[in-house]
Amino acid sequence: MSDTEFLSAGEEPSESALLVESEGIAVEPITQWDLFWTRLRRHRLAMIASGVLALLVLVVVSAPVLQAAGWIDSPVERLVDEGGRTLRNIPPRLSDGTVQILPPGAEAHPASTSALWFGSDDLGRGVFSRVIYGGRASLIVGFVTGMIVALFGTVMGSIAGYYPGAVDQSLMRFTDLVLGLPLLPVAIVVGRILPELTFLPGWIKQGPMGIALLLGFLSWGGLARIVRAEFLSLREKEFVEAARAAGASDRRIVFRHALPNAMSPIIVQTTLIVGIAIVIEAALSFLGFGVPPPTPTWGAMAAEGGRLAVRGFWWELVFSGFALVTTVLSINFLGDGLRDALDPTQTIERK
Amino acid sequence: MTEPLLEVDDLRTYFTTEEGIVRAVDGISFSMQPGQRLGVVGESGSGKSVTALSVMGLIEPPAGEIVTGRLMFKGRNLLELDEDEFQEVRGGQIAMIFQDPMTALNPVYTIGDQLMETILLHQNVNRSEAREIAIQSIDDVQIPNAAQRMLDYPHQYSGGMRQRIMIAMGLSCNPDLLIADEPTTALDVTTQAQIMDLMLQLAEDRGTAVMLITHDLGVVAGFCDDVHVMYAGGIVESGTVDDIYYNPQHPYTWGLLGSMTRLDDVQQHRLHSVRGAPPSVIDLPRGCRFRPRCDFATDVCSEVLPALRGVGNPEQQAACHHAEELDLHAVTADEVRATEEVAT
Amino acid sequence: MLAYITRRLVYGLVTLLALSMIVFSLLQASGGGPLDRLRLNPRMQPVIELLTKQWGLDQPVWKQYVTWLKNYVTPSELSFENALPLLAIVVAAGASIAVAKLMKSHWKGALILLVWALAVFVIFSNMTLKFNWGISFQGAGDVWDLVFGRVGATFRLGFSALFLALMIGVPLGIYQAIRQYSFFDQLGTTVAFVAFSTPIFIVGVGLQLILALYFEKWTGVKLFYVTGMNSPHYGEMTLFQQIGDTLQHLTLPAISIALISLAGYSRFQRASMLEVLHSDYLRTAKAKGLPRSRVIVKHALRNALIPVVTLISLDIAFMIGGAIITETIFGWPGVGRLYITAIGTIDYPLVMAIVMIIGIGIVIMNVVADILYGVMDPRVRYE
Repeated sequence: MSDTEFLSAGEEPSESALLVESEGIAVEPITQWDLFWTRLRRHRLAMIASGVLALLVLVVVSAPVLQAAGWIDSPVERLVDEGGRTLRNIPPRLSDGTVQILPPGAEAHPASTSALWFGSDDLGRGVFSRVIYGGRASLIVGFVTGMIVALFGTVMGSIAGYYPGAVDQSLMRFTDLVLGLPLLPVAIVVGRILPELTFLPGWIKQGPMGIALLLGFLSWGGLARIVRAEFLSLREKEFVEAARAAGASDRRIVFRHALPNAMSPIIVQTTLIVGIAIVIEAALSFLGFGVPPPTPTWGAMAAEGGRLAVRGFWWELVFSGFALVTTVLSINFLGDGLRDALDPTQTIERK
Repeated sequence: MTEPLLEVDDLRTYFTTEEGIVRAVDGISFSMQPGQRLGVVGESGSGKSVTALSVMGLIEPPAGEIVTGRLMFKGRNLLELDEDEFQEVRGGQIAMIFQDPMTALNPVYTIGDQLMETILLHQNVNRSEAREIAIQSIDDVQIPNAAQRMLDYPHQYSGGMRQRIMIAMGLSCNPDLLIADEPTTALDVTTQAQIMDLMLQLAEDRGTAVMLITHDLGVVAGFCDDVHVMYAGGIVESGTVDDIYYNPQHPYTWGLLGSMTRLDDVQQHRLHSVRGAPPSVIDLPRGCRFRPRCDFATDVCSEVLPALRGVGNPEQQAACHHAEELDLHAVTADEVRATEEVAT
Repeated sequence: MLAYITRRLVYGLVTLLALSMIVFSLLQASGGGPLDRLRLNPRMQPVIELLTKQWGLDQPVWKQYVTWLKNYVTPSELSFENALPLLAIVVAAGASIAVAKLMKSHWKGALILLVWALAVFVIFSNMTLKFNWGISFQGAGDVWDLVFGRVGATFRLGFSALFLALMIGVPLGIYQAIRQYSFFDQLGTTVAFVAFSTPIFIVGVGLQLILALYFEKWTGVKLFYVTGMNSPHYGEMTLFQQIGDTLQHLTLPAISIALISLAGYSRFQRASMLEVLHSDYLRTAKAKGLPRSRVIVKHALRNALIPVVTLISLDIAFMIGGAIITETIFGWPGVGRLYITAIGTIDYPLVMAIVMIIGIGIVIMNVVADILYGVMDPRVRYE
């Protein structure tokens, strides 16, 4: 008849667990990932967006296959000349004003294998295949820039956040400096100079890779700041102190404790950067300082399409613009969904 | 008995959430006399703060809604007032002090601004008179150099000082009722007692009734006349401080008392706690809401929700089927189980 | 506060130096050199020699950079009359220091901004001072004159866009927060997302085609002009016509720049307002018995607007990029279009001058935003 007995009786595990479950008071353990998926699935727009993006990646990656199968045309070649003769495999000549510009859905010339679903441009090239190939440039820029930013920003931010003092100070000064550069004006200069830099290998000068590298190295600053702030606040958290007290090494603390906790801002910020990078690449190409022709890009197609649209041929502008907006919108919706799903402050409340 | 100051009758305040309807306050009734000091005790989520916010008319639709009930304050049903009339009562006749003084004051206005705002709103005075009243009220809460400190911003005050300002603000219009929602929880222990003493002294000087909401039975014991114990949206026991402390009739009250350190505990009892967690107020168990955590529960407890009924003396009430049967001081859980086993 | 702002200005200066070095070396790295196009014309030989001498083009790159930098910060001729702008800067700086040292209230920031606004007015109304920014390599004229001849047009476009974005975006976000989860809120969120994801050039070209070009073609009514800042016969118009003409030219490019920023402001303002609406001090304000309108106008707005101030300085940098694109699309005679032309021909004194102007503008806007932040939020301590 002492209180000790009361305690042991009250805390008998099997019975109380049963009781508790039958009343719906306690719940089976939910892991972080379960929670993440549940929340992400609830975000309908994010789910649609990921579907759209998956489809885009599929089409863009398999573009050469589609081309080989004859479903789409080569993006850099004209289909027909003014006389209706096939001009496959002949590179386009400039200063040709007499090419017939075909509207969307037009019956392709018998020599061509695919219908011109999106019409053709003033050089006789199929807009549909150019939109698909243009997606390659956008996705490469988005993906590579995202990778660089995620890697660089995380490393810089973690080091600065984990080693306060001189290291932190100098790294952050450097970050501020990069953040202080006006993005588009500098990118325009680089985009203009890039093809002329003789010492660079061709894959950087010609394709979207150069633009991707450029944008990556100009835009990691924001993420580095976020990661640093996250690390600084984590330093103060009990679980990191506990790990340190338990004798965990620096490496273990960073990779097992700090980084997983900084993961959600890294993912969300990187997603946003991917969208921004795609827009800036398109803007550079629109201005003529991006990926050099004849490689198709949505930005360059919008510029060209704008000139055609003045003459009444709206399709190149509309389809390239639509592809660009849909892609960026999907990425932003996905980012929004990820932010909601990853936000640890938004726990499912139980009162 | 005089006419009660506040009479709450079958108040039900529900919140709509994604997971379902939260019955934060589910049918409570009580009354307060002028000048009375009432303690409302319960764990977090028991509905004590929502009760206070309901009285203040601060339940915000569409998320929260007072479903039924009457709130008679000085002969008027607050729930039937229109917004303009309620605004006169709110802050003027019923004032409220919140838990966290660090965030309860607007950071971009001076203390003086915020104090005078209330005074100008509820009293028929001009600015310079309001300034005088504000300075006086800062003086009353024992902050030195009142005229000077009127010009300071909240971040220039410490937590304890800010809570003094909140008290000054609450009492500056001489309200009939002051609701204090965990007013000292966020403060350190030495400041707690000072602030509590100060608040109750000032309230007494003005004849203001105080509803003190807390999870700390010790605070209630020291400062209140009467106590309501709340659990899962309902009152499970009410009575005078002495009744509740020395003769608890509800197992939950008994559990709460057991989890409290008492200086008068000559027998050196071990502390114990109420096991388990409060139920989700979305998914309430059938029958008595305390049953899953109760060591004395029987079949009737899982079927019928017990109503609040008089036990022992006329002022003490408990919502338990087995109140009076249980000698909570003498009986332990094991013995109850033993007797049940014999019975079945 | 003084130390803080000085430090920010020094960091800004370092950033500007780095910016100039990066752009300078990039321009130098381009093949052929900046004078190649001039060489095609034999009559240009004296000009080439002059430029080579002036910019030290036969020297190593670092020496060229030093020459450029020295020229860039050197006033071309300093006399007693044209030194007024410099004097205004010195006086304003002195006044700021005095205010920062003597005043206690956080409102001193507002006073300092006011002093500088006056100084800027004096500087621009007495702009007789010139810096030695050189001559355009493409023979377009003196770089200082070229740039400042176009700054006005860009300011007109930029401030109209900023005004539009703030005047529409901020109230929109506030209204959405007050009516959270309403149909209007959800519509606003969706529209903001779409606007935010639409590149400026798509908006610009789209508006130009539909509202300026096709609209006139279809209805015969001239609603907006496709290009330019004013009609050629602007000088002969009445004041009323002039305003109309200006708006007909200005509206579409301003909207193009503003749209993304507008969406950004509305999202940001909505989030910030929601946070304030759920804050404890707002509950206190309601508990005082204040009417809902006063609670929102006096207690919520002031707090909710504070974070937006920081967004403005970020947004200025973004809008400069937007102006470059939009000016190109709408043939707007501003600095942005000049920049694109200059880059195309690698006209390096001109490119450098414009890049530096942009950089300086961003640094100044950041400092202004910092001071404004301190004015709005008394908790801010400058450290």
